Amino acid sequence: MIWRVILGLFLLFMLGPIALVVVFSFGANALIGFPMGGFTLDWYGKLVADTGFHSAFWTSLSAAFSTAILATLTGMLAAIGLMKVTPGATRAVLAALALPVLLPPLVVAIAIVVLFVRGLGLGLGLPVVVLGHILVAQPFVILIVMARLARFDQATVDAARDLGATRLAAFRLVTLPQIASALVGAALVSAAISLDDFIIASFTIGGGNTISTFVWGKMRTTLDPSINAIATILLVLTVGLSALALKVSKYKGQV
Amino acid sequence: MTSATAPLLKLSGVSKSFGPVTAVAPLDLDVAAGDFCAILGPSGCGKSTLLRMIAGFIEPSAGKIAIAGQDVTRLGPEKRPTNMVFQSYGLFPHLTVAENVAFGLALQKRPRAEIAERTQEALRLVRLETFGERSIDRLSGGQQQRVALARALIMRPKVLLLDEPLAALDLKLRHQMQEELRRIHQEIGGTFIFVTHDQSEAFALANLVAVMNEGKVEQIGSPDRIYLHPATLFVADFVGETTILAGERRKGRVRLKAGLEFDSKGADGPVRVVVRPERVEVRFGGIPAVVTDAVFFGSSLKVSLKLPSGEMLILRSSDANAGEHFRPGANVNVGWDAKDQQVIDAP
Amino acid sequence: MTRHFNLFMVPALAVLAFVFAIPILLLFAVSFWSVKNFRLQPDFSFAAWQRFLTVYGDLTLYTLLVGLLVGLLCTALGFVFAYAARFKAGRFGDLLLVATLITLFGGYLVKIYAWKSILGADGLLNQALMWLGLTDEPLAFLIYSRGAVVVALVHFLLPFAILPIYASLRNVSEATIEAARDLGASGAQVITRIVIPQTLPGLFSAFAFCFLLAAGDYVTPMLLGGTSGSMLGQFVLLEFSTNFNWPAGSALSFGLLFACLVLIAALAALGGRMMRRPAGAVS
Repeated sequence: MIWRVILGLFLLFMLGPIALVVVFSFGANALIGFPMGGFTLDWYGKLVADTGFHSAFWTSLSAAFSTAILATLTGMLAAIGLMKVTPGATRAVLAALALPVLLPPLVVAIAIVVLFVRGLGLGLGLPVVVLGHILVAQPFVILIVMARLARFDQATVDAARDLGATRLAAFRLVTLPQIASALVGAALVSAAISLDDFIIASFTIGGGNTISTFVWGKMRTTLDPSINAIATILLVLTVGLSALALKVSKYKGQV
Repeated sequence: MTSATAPLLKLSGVSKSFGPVTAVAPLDLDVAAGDFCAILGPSGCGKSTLLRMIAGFIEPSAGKIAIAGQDVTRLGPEKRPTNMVFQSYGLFPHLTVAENVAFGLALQKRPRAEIAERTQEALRLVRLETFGERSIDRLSGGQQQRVALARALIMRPKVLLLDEPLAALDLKLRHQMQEELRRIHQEIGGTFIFVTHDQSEAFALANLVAVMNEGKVEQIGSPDRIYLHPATLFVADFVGETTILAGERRKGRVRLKAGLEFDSKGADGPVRVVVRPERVEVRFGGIPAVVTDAVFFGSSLKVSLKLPSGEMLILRSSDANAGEHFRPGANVNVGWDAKDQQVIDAP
Repeated sequence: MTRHFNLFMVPALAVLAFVFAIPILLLFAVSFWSVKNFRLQPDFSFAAWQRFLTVYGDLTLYTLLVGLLVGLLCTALGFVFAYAARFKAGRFGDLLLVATLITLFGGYLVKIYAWKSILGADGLLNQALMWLGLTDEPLAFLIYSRGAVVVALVHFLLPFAILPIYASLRNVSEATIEAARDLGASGAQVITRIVIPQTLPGLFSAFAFCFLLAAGDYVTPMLLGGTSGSMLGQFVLLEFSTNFNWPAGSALSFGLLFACLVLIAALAALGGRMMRRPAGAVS
């Protein structure tokens, strides 16, 4: 009983604040507070009419899509490679690849800016954002794919080879179908990470906005009630993708 | 038995080392067409490595592998006329039973009708003709084993390789599958090589047994030869129940510590004499021994005897009524025929 | 067969090198450069580091303290939650974990913003307090304070603490707990002598991760901290964007990073020494 109360309080603390934002995005009152006013979709309507939000939305989606494809590719290949090396090497390479996630994103973001602007003389922009997001997403892809590969029966690949398949054919016909769900899950998580990121995007986007930098601008300046609506959209996208990823990949948080 | 004609599979000086570790020492092995050959040994003796070298998954460090006169040493597994039944089966979980079986033929882009027909034929051979549309995870262990067998057999391999094929099955199922394997071998008349650590399985199935230990082949021969005339102490000890007695050879005559003497050709020096328990019997004028223990096994009685030398000798009697002769503490005289003993030079 | 490297890792490692390793090394080099007339010049100067030590020493210490507090709170709360989910929630355990996982990759800004709405002068909490008659006017200290920053950071980082702790709790076999009970251990003794020792690696990685991210954050203090709750990250941003003093910004980044790593290493050494001490007799 006591444990139920404790767990209930935890869930309230963890999910309550987020739920609040979602609920109030449908409230007629401009700000979070009571009474919240009647149900309305006005704030969403405002966003639909806002061209600034449009471009931020599409920028975010293309960043998320590119990150999902590319991080899943690099992460999948790395996971396959890591299964073939000694445990010590696996640990070392994993630790190196996870380092960008452990350091403050601010430092990573600034370092990227310094290299691209000062070191290479290249500009900033969407491709740089995507590179930054791949960097952060690929360790999670590796984790998810390796968890799947650990349960993977290597004898299925041997059997395919024994039955006349080349290495590539064995990968396409036997390995890929078996790890497909994990890959889809990893891609969705990568997309969620990309959409959720604010810090790297705000430094490397150059001109323009992602949804995160767009909502940040509103948070800092005005008390714009459409913030709740944008936040809800962002939340639905990121949390929705994560939930979908968990369902598809059957990943249970192994680390 | 190896035949006088050219063997179907010929290994010459094949060996494998991983860095400083020798997994398989240089060995020769000839397997004739139609042979059912067992590679028998304890785990870690290199038998699976040997099988995977024949299949093409591991490239030998030295030596030559030839199948039907063709050198296949450098060919990958997909280019060899061998197919394998894997220990964990390696069935494709995303395909149905029929799709699993048809996999190899589909890769060869055979006509659809031929694939369907041969798939049915292969499933019939393993008695799973009605299971074609099932998914793999809805099969029992024994059924999965049969699918793995059908998937390999459909390729009509010159040599079928089986890696501990029955290890994952429980005892009763294992005996059933042994019968099944014998039937299939007779029905299609192919050449089978299987790896096992279970000597009763090797004897039940094979007409040719290779015993391996620590990467070396200790003995190759027919099951009865290996059982009654083990070439080395390891084979004697590993294959079946056995008693090993110490002795010394001087000028063509062996004298056992236990008190027995007989003629035996060979160099002077310490020797060991190997005797199988069921060849030991009570005999007048035999070695005096004291019964220390007798255990009733239903079909036989296992008696432990202490010899004057202090060595233990095991006797197995199929006479169920013999129990009263073998009360612990009883004195008996025991012996065996010279043809049933094997003299091995001690290392 | 097994080796130390293979070609499949190349793309991921190339991204790591190009977008992380090289930039970080360059950033480190920049901390020794100098700025003349708002132009960055390669140099070997300790001016930026001097600035870090003299101007930002206290702030660095404060930032570490916030990180430490948040890390400890997250680890403690994360353990309670993970323990309950693993041993007390029965079949709801998985559901609780899913609730944790889905907020892991979503809502960074939304969470901070939500706390602004809750703690603000006309926020939910003040409204509730006034409605209950506990206060006549809004409590101003709720937001723009150190407490607000800590609460929001704990809220954001708690899922990151729960996951590694839950993962290591899952490896604690129920048999060891039952054996301890059977040998006479009380509920509390089971936790301190059986569960926690087996969970230490998970607890430590949870702490280290939350500590690092909390100490390195600048968005939360910017939105919720006001002037009293400022953290070093904000000044990294300030040096970079407003002052165009890249060397100083980079010295601040690495100063903070080194300070964090020293603290974690010290804690790890301390923890290791405590682990090596023979477990005392049951008292």
